[in-house]
Amino acid sequence: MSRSLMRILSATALTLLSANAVAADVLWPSFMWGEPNNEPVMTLLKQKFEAENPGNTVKSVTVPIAAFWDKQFADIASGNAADVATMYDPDVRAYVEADLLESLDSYLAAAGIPMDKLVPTEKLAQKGGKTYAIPFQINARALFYNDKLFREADVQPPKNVDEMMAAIRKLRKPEAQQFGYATISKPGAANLLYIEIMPIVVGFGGGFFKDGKPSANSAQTVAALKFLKTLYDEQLIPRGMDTPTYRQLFVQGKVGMYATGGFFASVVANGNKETYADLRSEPLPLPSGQTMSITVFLGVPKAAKNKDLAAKLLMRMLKDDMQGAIVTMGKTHPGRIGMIPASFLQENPWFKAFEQATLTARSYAPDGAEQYGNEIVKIVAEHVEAMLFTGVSAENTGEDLQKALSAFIATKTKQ
Amino acid sequence: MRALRLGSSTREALTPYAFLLPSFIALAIVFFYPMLRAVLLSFYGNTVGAGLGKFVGLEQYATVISSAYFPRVLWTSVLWTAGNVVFVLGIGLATALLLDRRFPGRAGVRALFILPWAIPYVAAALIWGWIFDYEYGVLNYLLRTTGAVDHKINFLLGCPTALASLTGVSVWKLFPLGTVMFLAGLQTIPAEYYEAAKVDGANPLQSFRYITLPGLRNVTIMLTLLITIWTFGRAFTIIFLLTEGGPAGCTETIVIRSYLEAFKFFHIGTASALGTIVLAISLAFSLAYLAFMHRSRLVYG
Repeated sequence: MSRSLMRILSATALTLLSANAVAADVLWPSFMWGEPNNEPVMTLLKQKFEAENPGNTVKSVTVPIAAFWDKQFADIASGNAADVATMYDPDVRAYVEADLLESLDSYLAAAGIPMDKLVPTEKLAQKGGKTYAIPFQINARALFYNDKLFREADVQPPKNVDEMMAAIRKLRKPEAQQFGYATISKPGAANLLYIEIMPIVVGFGGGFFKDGKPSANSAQTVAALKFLKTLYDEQLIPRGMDTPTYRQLFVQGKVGMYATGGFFASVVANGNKETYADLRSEPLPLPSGQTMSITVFLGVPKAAKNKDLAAKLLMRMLKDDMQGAIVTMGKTHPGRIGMIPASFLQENPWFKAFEQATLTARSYAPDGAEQYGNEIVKIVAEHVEAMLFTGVSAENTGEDLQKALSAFIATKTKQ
Repeated sequence: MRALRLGSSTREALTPYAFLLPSFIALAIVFFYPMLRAVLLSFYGNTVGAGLGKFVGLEQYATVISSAYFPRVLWTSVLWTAGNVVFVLGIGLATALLLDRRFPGRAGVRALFILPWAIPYVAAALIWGWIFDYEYGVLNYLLRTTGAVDHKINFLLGCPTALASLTGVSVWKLFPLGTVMFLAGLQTIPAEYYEAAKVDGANPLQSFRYITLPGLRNVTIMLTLLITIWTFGRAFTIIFLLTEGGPAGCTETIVIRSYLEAFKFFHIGTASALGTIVLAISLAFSLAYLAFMHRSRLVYG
C-alpha cells in the first residue's frame, strides 16, 4: 500500500518537474499594460508569442507608473528582476553602464534585424559594440492643437515662435478657464518637468548638455527659458497642475496647444470623441526646426529567470506584423524605421508631423552625459523651478545652471 | 526523548519572552534587518545589484556632508520639525484647554477634533493638494471671494510658502495627538489647586501660568520628543505627494533626498548614508525620550 503510494507520488512529482522544465511564465510588469494605447498592442504580442511557443506564457502585471520606476529598480537591485525591463532614454543608459542588462546581439542576429533599421536613439542602448535593449516605440514631440478653439478664436496654426506666442495669448480665456498652451508648472516632479520643457529647449536649438559639456547658458537655451518664463508669468499656462490633469484639460477642449508624443492621440480618442475630431498636429514652429523624443526601451535584466524566452519575446515585437500593430493600434512610431503603413497615414493625417519628427529628433537624455540623466534632470528642474516660482530671470537661470552642471560633471570626471 | 523540565520560577520568568518572541521575530525581519543592512550599505560604493560592491569606509558620509545640498536639506528638515513641534504643541494645548471645559455636545466636538488624526496620510495629502491648487483650489477661491486677499496665493508654488503649507498639513494631521495628550495631562492636575489659587485671588492667566503649565510639564516634554522623532524621521509622505521636495528644492528634507538618491539616481550607498544620518539624529532624540521616561518613573513611580 505504502509502496504503491510512493510510486504514485514519485510519478506525480516527475510529471510536475518535467512540465516545469518546459513551461515558463515570462514576467513582464509594466505601467503600459494599463495604458489605452499600449495595452492592445502588448496583449496582441502576448497572444502571438503564446500561440507560437506552446506551453509558455507571458505574465502581464500592471504597475501604476507612479510606483513603476522605483519598483523595477528595487527588484533589479535586489536580484529579483522580472524578465522584461522597461526604460526611457536616461534609464537605459544608466542600466547599461551599471551592467544590469543582458546582451541581445545573438537574438537580433538570429532574427535578422540589422541595427540600421532601428530608430537612431537605439545607440543609447549600446556599449562596446553590444546592444542591450530594443526600442519598443519612440515618441518624438510635435504640436497637437484643437482646431475648434483655433477657429473660434480666429487663429491660424502658428508657423514661427512669434505667431505661436500670439496664438497662445489669443486663445487664453480666463473666464472660460481656457488656456492657449499647456505644460508643467508644478513643483517637484523633476522628470516630468524636464520632459515637458525639452521640446521647447530643443526647438530653440538649445540644450543643457552638448557632447558631454554643459550648455545651459547658450543663447538658444536662454531664449527657450525666457519663452517658458513668459508663459508662466503671464498665466498663459495652467499653474501648479500635474501632467495628467492638464492633459485632461486638453481632452476636455480647454487647451489650444500641447507639445507631446503621438501616443496622446489615443488618449484624446478614448477621452473625448469631439476633441479627437478637432485634433490636428504641426511640427513645433520653433527656430531650430528640431524636436526631442522619448524612446521606450525594453531589455532583459541579467538577473531575470527566463532570459532566453524574454529575449525571444522582444524579437517577436520587432517582426513586421507587430511593428505595424504598434502604429495602427498604439498610434505611435515603432522601434523600426520605415514601418508606417501608407493607409494609416491617409486615415490619420495628424501622424505626419510625428513621423517627420522621429528621424531627426534628439533624445531628451543629456547629450554625452546620458548615464547621469536623472541627476542632471534634478539639477535642471530645480533651477527651472527657481525661475518659474521664485522670480529668477532666464539669463541668471542659464548662468546658475551652467555653474551647477559644470560643478556636477567635474565631480563625475574626478571619479 | 525526555521532556525538558523547567522550574516554576524559571517558567514564570521566561513566559513574557515567549509571548514577545513572535513580535520580535517579525520586527527583526521587517525592521532591524533592513535597518542594519542600510547602515552596512552606507560603507559601500553605489553599486547596483544584489552584492555589496566596493568597501569605501566613511567616504559616503564625507561625500554627503561636503555636498552642496546637505546644509540645505538639513536646514529644511530642522525647520519642518520645529514648525511641527511648535504648532502641534500650541494648537494641541489650545484645543485641549477648550475641550476640557464643560459645554453641551462636548463629546461630539472632541470626536471631530480627532478626525484629522484618523485620516490616512496619503488621503490627507491628496485632499490638501486640491485645496491648495492654484487654478481650482477652494482655499484661494474662499480667500478671494471673502476679500481676504486680492490675488491668488502660491501655496505650493513658492518659497517659503510651500514649506509653510506643507507644515500646515502635517500639523493639521498631528495636532489631535497633542490635544489628546494634553487633555489627559489636564485631568491629572487636581482641581483643588485651581480652587486654592482662586481663594488666593489669582486670575485665570495666573492660574494657567503657575498651575496648568507646570502641571503639563511632563506631557509637554514627552510630546516634544515624540513629535520631533516622528516628524524628523518621517518627513516624507506629505512632502513627496505634494511637492516632491520642490519648488527649487525648498521643501527637500534629508529623507526626501535619501529617497531621490536611491530610486532616482541609483546611489544606494549615498542614500544609505543619508538614512543612517537620519537614524542617528532620531536615535539621539529617542535616547533623550527614554532617559526622560526613566527619570519620570523614578520621580513619580
